[in-house]
Amino acid sequence: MTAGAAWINVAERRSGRFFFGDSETAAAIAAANWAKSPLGLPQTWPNRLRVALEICLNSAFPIALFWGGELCLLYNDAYHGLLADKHPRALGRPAREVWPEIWDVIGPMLQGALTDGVPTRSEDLQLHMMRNGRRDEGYFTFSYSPIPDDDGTIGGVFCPVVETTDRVIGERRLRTLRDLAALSRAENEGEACRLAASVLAVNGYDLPFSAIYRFDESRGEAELMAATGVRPGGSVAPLRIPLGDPDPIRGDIWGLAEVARLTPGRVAIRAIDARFGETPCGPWSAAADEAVLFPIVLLGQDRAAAALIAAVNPFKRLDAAYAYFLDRVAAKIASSMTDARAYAAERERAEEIRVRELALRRTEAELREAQRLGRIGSWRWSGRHDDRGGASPYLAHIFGLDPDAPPPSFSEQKGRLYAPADWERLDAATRETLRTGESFELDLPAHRADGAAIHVTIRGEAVRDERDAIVGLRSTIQDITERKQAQERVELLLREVTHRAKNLLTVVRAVARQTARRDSPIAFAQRFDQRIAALGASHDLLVQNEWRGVELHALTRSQLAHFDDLFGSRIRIEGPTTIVKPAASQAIGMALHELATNAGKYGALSTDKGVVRIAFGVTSEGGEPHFEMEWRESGGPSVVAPKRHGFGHMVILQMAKHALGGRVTLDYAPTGVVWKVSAPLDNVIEPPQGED
Amino acid sequence: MSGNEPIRILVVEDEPAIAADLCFVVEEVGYEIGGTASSVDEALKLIEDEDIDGVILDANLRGSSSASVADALRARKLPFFVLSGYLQRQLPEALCGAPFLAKPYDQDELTSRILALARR
Repeated sequence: MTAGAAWINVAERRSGRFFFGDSETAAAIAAANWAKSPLGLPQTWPNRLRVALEICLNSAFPIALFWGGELCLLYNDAYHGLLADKHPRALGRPAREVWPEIWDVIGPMLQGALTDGVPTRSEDLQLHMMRNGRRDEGYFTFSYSPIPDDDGTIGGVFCPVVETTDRVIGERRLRTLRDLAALSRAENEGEACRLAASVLAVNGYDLPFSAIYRFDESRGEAELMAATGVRPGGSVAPLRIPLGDPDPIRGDIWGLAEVARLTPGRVAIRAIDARFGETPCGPWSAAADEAVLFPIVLLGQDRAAAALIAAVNPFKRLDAAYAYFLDRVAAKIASSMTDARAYAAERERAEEIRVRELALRRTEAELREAQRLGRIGSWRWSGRHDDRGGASPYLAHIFGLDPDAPPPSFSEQKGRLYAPADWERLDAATRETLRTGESFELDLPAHRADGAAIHVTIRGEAVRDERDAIVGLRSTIQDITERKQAQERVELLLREVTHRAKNLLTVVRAVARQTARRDSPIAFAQRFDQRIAALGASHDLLVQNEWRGVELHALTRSQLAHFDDLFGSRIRIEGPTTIVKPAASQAIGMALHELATNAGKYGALSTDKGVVRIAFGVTSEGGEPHFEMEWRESGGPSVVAPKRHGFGHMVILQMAKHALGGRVTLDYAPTGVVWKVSAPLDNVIEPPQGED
Repeated sequence: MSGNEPIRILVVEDEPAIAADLCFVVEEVGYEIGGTASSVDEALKLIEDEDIDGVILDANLRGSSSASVADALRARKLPFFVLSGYLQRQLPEALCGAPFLAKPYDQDELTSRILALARR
């Protein structure tokens, strides 16, 4: 008490009034008219209040006192910032009147401290106080502590407070910027915008709503890429905005045409008026009334690629920090769109390369298959003898070389792939091409690595550089071995067929001449006809058997076809199945024909009783296998040897001897003609296949 | 060559009918058959053993060339002509240089060729 009285005394002594110190607030307290205040005149204030006020006024820390049932406000100079334009009106006023806008929050807390004596402690509590004519987003860390009155009851509430608004908002904005920076790389610009929007959507305080539009200059419009806090396609964020269109509803409502022309660092500010209809509020209780529009200019470009529309927090002044924050947001969006564009371009390039490589591989495979199909290898070389050049895989295949090893150099090919003389021809041709630029084509015999003979067609041409100078040779080597062999076979066959045809014609002429020598013109016609028919019959058998030989039973029957009703009865053929050689078949056939003709005219077959027995087989003569054949007539008219021998006789004796290289005998025995042939087996019988 | 000693011709031909025809023409001309052969070995043996004045030589005997027979004849300076169904240029060197008669032959041509054997 004594100390308090002394203090009041001092105050009173100074000015004749109560003195609370030298501060601005102390002066205001001293000057105020307390008569109408629920607190009453200062001289009536309880000592406890005076002490508390003294502490408050002497503190450099913002402190408020709430006193009495109406919680009248007292504060110090440091507290002015919190009050803003509420000071000095608020001095001594009931707290409820000072802060009706936040009373729902602080009222119960104050009442609690006052009536129950329970202190509170709040950190970064969001309170939207009216300051300077507007509700202002603010954050406060404070405590309400009960102050005992002189009578021991609770007289008021002591409140030290610190405003943390800048820190809280700064941290929030920093988080947004950090999250934007930490976004994973987008695959394209649209995704970059959507990813950025997903971060902006979390911070509705600083961005009640936002929209990102991409400019499509060619269509003269802006396309909505992403939006937060607002419905895409609605009146605030239409999907497409025609740039510069004056229509107040469907037109360029945001004035984006102007934004598209802005340079980085410049912004446009738009009032959000009735044109936009009911705009969304985000976390706030009121709608934003302005928006900042940023051009988004990608790195390396001089025109905006997109625009960011950022609605401004209605409870926060667009101060430098806020503007800086929004500018950073726009810059982050620009950089992630730049990255996405670069990434997309990179991917496009990679895809292009991949597609090109794929096409190249396909072309290479096609070339390989085509080379295989055409049996063509290719070789590209400088023309120097020691050069290995580059060979296609099929080239190695043609020559039977190791496809993984480099091809032999041109000089190494001498004697290895080509006989020296052939190599010299190739060398001369290539040198000529290198000298004159004229292409060459050569058919050459060559050798595979395993020594097999092949035949190749080599075509070569000069390779020129961009200045048209000859720098090497390009050549194709085609394996024509099979074609060459086929060609040779055909040529051989043609020669053989011609030879046989001419031989046969010669035989026919000889038969004709020989027949004509002996017979009358009428007999000639008949005999010649028969002999040619017989020749034809054995030839038919030969052709049927593909010229490999004739079966002897069949041959005999064909030559005796005239008597086919006697087979098995008067004509008996005995012997194993025997294939005789083409030449032998002709000789035996003609002999049988002549024997049969004679037998029919004069011998066993000229009556209805005589018998012909034809037998053949293999015997051994001096260790060598021999072919034996016998024609034996019996039961016919008694035989008289002819005085004059005709062509038939010659055929029967000489031809067989000639063709078979053996012995032939013809015996005109009175009981019947006997014809015997004995020849080395090899001359008559076709050897088993596989031998020549 | 004396008038009373007949000229002997060796016929080397594996086709019996043709050989027979050749023999007839040789005899018709008034010459004698000095032998007939249907293989290279046979021909070489007859050239060795027999007294022969000229040879009709088929180019192909049982599938093999008669070039070696031509060589033997040249060595003995025996006149001969080659008979073949092949073209003359298709024949081996030893045969294509000799007088040639193509099959099928004309009898007059054959006759003059046979006569030419003795005139040499």
